[in-house]
Amino acid sequence: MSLISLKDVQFSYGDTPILHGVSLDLQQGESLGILGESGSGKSTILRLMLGLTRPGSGVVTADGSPLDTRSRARMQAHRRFAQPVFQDPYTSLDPRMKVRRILIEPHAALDLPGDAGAEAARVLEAVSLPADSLERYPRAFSGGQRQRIAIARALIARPRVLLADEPVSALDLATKVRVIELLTELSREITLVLVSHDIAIVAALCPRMIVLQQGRIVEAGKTAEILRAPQHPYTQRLLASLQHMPVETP
Amino acid sequence: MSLLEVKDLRVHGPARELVHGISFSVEPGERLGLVGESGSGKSLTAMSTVGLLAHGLRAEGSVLLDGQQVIGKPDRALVPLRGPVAAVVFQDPRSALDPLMKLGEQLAHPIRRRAKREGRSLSATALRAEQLRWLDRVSIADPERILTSWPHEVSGGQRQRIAIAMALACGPRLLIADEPTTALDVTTQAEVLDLLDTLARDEGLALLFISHDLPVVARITDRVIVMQQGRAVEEGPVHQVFTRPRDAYTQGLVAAAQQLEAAVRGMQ
Ligand SMILES: Nc1ncnc2c1ncn2[C@@H]1O[C@H](COP(=O)(O)OP(=O)(O)OP(=O)(O)O)[C@@H](O)[C@H]1O
Ligand SMILES: Nc1ncnc2c1ncn2[C@@H]1O[C@H](COP(=O)(O)OP(=O)(O)OP(=O)(O)O)[C@@H](O)[C@H]1O
Ligand SMILES: [Mg+2]
Ligand SMILES: [Mg+2]
Repeated sequence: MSLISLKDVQFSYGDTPILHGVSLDLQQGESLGILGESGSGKSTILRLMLGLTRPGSGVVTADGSPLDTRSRARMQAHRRFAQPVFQDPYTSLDPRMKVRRILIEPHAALDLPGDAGAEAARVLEAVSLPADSLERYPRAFSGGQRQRIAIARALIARPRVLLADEPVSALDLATKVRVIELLTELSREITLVLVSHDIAIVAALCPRMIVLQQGRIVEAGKTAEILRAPQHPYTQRLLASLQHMPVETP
Repeated sequence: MSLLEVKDLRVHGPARELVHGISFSVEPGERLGLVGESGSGKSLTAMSTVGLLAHGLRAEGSVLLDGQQVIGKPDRALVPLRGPVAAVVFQDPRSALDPLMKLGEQLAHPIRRRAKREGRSLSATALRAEQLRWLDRVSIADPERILTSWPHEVSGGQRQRIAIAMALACGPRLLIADEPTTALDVTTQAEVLDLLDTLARDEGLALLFISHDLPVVARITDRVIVMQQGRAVEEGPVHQVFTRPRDAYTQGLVAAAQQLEAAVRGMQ
């Protein structure tokens, strides 16, 4: 079943064209990784999928029908359907709200079932943050801790699709592995769209991937196949630029 | 004399001590990495060295930056050190950028300050040339557009590179970089690391480099400190620490990095 699709989407900021004829289809259970050059339009694709912005031409379809960003009711339903984790965990958390309110507010705003307090505790535990985090403000957390708060806030809606922009980039390896495990577990119920520069994360979580360069998809397909035999020169260059752990020299 | 000498640095939070006595030094031209658990105190340690701790936090111990004591000094006394001696790339690139000022204007500030310090006059044409040169050095493809953009009008990785350009344009002897390449694709990242290499080699730039990305730390630093729960648990040459870790926490960290890498290699 198709969850979200983009069909021949063009997008510009003012006179600057950003996306050129992007088409993709997110199938349930087939998490999608988006890799690509900085500035190539990855976050813009997520914004289109979230309905935060409209394509210049082409169609964004979600949950079976075109996404009408002007309809309040449709957007409310869409927020239950698809939740974001933004690239900048600092700025996406309201500094005046305690974590409790950050988590409980979407629960109320989206009219979600269940007890908000219990749900807040559930998601906090899911991202390995202590329960007393609820009474603290975002500024009292480290970079990686804030990133986990942002993930917790997205999870509270129990969305069908999680659109995550570099969700683990600020995490240490142990936490990263835990979050990957968490996302893997969730990906049975939630399909991910994962923007990441970290090829290992995409490989671990996403059976399919696309590679974006200057607003165009230059490669798309099964992650395992692309990693084994990248076709496009840009993808080849990307894989060749990976840094490696030092090895013991005898 | 060390460029930076930290002795028994402690950072106190409102409720408890967050960094429990850390000591290290950075020599001119030396490149030191800081790795470790999320929340272990890496950013607090880095911010303490330039007196930029957030409100409500207090540093104790000794931090000598270019021979001058930082701890206990009023902000006024530290301003002359920030820029020419040590410049910072913050973990959150947005905090370095003024949301209400176009990026070109923001980048002009450090360029003007440096010219003034060095007694150079700077024509409008020369300023523009320097702005473009810095954006080019951090691999920004369309510098003309970026200069006239607002911070919210550029991508995460572009913001991060502008923050790096602004810090380097100060002409510092020490660059403190807190997760400076997290938002960059690996090819752009490699270009930025090459730039830091060049500056280290040609201008003797020293680095305090914080990252969770062990291969990147191995690539760019000489020596590394591993932190856990507010303490340094291991320190040594980066190659040695990453190939023969002694501390149990470091061993786990290195093993996890190797496993991730093996997983990707297994698919290739
Ligand atoms: N509000 C805006 N106004 C004008 N241009 C913008 C705006 N937002 C982004 N851009 C430009 O659109 C292009 C695509 O941006 P986007 O944020 O989608 O890139 P990205 O692939 O997510 O990059 P990164 O990996 O650096 O986060 C960039 O060149 C950026 O400068
Ligand atoms: N302003 C503050 N008030 C209270 N506690 C704080 C504050 N800033 C940081 N802390 C706490 O201090 C500890 C160390 O934070 P720091 O930001 O130095 O961690 P870090 O090692 O940089 O982590 P990360 O890798 O996640 O960025 C964390 O437990 C954090 O919650
Ligand atoms: Mg982005
Ligand atoms: Mg930090």
